[in-house]
Amino acid sequence: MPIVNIDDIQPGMMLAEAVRNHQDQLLLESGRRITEKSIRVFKSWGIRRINVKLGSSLDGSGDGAVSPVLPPAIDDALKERFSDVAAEPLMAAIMQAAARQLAARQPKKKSGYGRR
Amino acid sequence: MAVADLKRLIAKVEDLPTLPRTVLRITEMVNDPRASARDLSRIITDDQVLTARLLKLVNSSFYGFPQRVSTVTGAIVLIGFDAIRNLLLTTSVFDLFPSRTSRGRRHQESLWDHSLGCAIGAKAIGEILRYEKLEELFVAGLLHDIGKIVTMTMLPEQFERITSRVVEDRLLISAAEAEILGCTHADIGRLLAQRWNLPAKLMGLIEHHHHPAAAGAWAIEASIVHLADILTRALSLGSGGDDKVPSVDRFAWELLKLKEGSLDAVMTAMLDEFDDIGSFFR
Repeated sequence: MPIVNIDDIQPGMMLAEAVRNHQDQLLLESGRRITEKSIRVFKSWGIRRINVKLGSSLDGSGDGAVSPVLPPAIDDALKERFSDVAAEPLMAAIMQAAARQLAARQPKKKSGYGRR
Repeated sequence: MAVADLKRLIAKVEDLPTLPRTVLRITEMVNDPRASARDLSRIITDDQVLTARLLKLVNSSFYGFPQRVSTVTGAIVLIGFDAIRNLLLTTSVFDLFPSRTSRGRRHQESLWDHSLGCAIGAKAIGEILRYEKLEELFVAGLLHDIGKIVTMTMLPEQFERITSRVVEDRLLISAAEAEILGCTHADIGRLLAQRWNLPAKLMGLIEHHHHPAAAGAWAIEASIVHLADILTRALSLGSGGDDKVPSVDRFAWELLKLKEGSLDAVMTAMLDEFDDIGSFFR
């Protein structure tokens, strides 16, 4: 299971391990999907790294997307390219890194605020 | 592969284009200890295309010099004889295989993008590993699949059959090549490198980029090109002939001792530099 830096965590990723604060209070259970709100909560508690589930995005369970930020066509193509090797941990890590890089280059959605 | 086919293939390889005269003269000069930067600059400036390409490259993010370099002599002094020879060699190589059909040109452009992505990736991995001769890795990345260009342009019928096998049975291109040609682009690339008297190391990297352990003394460099090849496929920069990402060779990964976290840095560099450096060669 990859340990991912909090700055690289994206909404939609699934927890492989429960996240607790330094007082051992449960912030989010294992197996739950991370939302934007949970990222804010983790950051406010100073959580630095999170153990996420690879299978949640790679093996077709859940919503099946490698990255929720990628347009579906690009996400599907990425999964297809890795379909023979995604079970290997190193190749899964390469796929995740590629997804992060491609996602970072997607045009930002317009918020609509301040527009006519 | 049938004997007749093999003979035909070798005969085709014998017909391979030769390197441009300017590149040959530059190669001779680089090996001549008495040659000066001014001598070399005179030969390069005789060729306007090479001059423009060289100046564009030294002023691109590939080198990232803080000030604009405006003369060929300045460029030679800054990046050195060997680097000039390798880079000019590389820029000429892809011009030597003109494609006759628009489909062929598309394949070639895709392969070119793939090669460029691999070159930038190899250089980025080299930077992380503090490898000294980055431009050597760049050139090896650019030329690693040169054998595929030979098949594309000189054995179009076989190339067509290879692409059909790749699409229909979702094969890796090297598997389809082995089946149809009896050898792979790595073997053909070695033949070409031999014929052009390319440096032995470059020849070794072209031949062993799929099996770095077989590269002997150049195993580290071959592992770098191997990993860069796979990362280029992961990011879908161009196409190496199939749309699959093969596994990273375990030997290569263990030899390089890269951290998984470094993969992001390499891929960022690949995407950032792809357009900038690409404009130099296109």
